[in-house]
Amino acid sequence: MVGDWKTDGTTAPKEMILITQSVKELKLLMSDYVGIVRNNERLHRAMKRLDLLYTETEALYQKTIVSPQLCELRNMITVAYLIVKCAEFRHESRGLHFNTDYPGKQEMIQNIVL
Amino acid sequence: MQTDFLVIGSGIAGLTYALKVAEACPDKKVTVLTKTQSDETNTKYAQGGIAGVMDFDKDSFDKHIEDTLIAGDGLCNRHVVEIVVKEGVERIEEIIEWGANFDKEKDGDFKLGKEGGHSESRILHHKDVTGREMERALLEAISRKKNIDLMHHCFVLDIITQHHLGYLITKATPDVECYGVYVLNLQTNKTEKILSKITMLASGGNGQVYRSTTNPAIATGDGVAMVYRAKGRIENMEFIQFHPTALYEPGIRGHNFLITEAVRGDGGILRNQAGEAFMERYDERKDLAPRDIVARAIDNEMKIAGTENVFLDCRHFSKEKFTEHFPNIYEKCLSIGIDITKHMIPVTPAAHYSCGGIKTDEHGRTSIKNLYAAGECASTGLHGANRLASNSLLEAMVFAHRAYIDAVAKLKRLKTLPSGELWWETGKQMAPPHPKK
Ligand SMILES: Cc1cc2nc3c(=O)[nH]c(=O)nc-3n(C[C@H](O)[C@H](O)[C@H](O)COP(=O)(O)OP(=O)(O)OC[C@H]3O[C@@H](n4cnc5c(N)ncnc54)[C@H](O)[C@@H]3O)c2cc1C
Repeated sequence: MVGDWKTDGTTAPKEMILITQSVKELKLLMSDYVGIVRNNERLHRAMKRLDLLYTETEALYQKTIVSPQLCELRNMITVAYLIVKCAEFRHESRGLHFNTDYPGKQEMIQNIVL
Repeated sequence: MQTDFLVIGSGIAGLTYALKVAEACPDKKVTVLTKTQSDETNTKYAQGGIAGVMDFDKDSFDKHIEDTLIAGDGLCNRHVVEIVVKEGVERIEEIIEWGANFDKEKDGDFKLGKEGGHSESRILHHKDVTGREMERALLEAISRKKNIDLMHHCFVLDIITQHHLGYLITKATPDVECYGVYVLNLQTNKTEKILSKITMLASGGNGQVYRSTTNPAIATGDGVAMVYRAKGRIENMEFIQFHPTALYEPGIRGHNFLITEAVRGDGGILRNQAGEAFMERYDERKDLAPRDIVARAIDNEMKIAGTENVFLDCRHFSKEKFTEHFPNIYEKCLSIGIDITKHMIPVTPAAHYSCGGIKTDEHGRTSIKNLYAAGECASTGLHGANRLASNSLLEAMVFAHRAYIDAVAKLKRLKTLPSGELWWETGKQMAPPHPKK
């Protein structure tokens, strides 16, 4: 059968602030850089910051007992990454995606799949 | 624990699917997991209503299809749009049979609302709390089904695949299979595994990724992240719909209060930090310009000034007129110290709906075997690059139904769950996939 969830070597998080501060940072960077109007510079900056949040959060995840707060943070970082990555791949402005570096529409219709 | 049909999410998509499989297979066990209270879902907060062609004298399938395609800006899958529009009517009839009430005219016909982007009146609604009514009806229908076990406060951590049996799974691995989920039971604080031959992911949206959102605190995109970790396909995540004017309240957890666009319709004026009525610089229709233009103008003003909000000025309204039309907005503002006759209302765009998500086919199947997805977490091809208002509840029901038909047929064919020696004693210890790979 499938193995049980393993908790060996993990402890409860000592400080919630490690999680809540990262959630705040994530929300701010997404709203400020990946909101309604986007451009390449903002997307690039968002990705750099997400990378740091990702590295810190994975390290925390490996050594602490899982909690919904930590898992949600981890999931939100992944989702933010996917939003930015898809936005970077789309070299046009279409529908809800508006990038001032590519204000027009491309002729080729393209779904971005990651 | 083992179950026959596992469902993650108790919103409209998850509950519709659960009811249908439970009805079709009375001897099978259906387990529904939800991470907080059973009714805490995006579904509960839907206000406007659900779109469906009801009045065939004035309206037609073709018009609804055309409206959806125009909103989607060239990116909709036409075949899927046709499926949702045509099958949607039957699904609406079903939820009415299950007990949902929609507002009616005196003569017994449904009151049909009209929303932005719709060429005809076709929005069924229950006052301005349609989602709450649908959620209530579904939960009641669920409670009458003996073979459905609704487990609340069960936080799903990850879906179980061959990865958890010790195999190396990459994006290129064909035939990744889902065997169930690991879940953190918040009542016992224990991590359990729930095995199931067939799993449905109906985990909703991801508005919480943004500072301001209309989505409740549960909307953290867990399902999309889990499928991505399991090497499933995710599509078109860049298309996030924003509501241009939500009440700006720094630091709140959960959702921002919506200031309906009707306030601008009645004469509310948008102003920037300097007090300038900026909309006249963007469009000759000023504050009544289309939603996209207003949203971009607000965004631009905030970016230029480096601030987190602009203002909606209603100081010129008489208190009587404002409280008559917008009693809830008046009360809400007052509760945070804003008297709209004296102060401007701080507003900010709020993340509202995620058009993309887990890529599914026309039967709700994901790229991972025996794993379905429906509702806001799925990307079916209906919305394309922008969602037509009130199409999302419809989409959730249509694809819950299609997945149910496929899943019931599949269950008969499926072998038993894998068992054997090769079990990796881990859930968590496996290296998590780096998002860069
Ligand atoms: C304010 C507002 C107004 C809206 N108005 C309309 C409208 O008028 N018309 C329209 O068509 N649409 C509207 N929408 C959109 C619509 O409400 C949603 O798209 C739809 O309800 C999504 O339903 P769902 O079943 O996919 O997900 P949800 O209803 O969000 O349900 C998600 C479920 O998944 C569960 N879940 C998530 N993660 C986990 C996890 N890790 N473990 C366990 N359980 C989990 C949650 O607990 C929840 O039960 C509106 C949305 C909002 C926020």
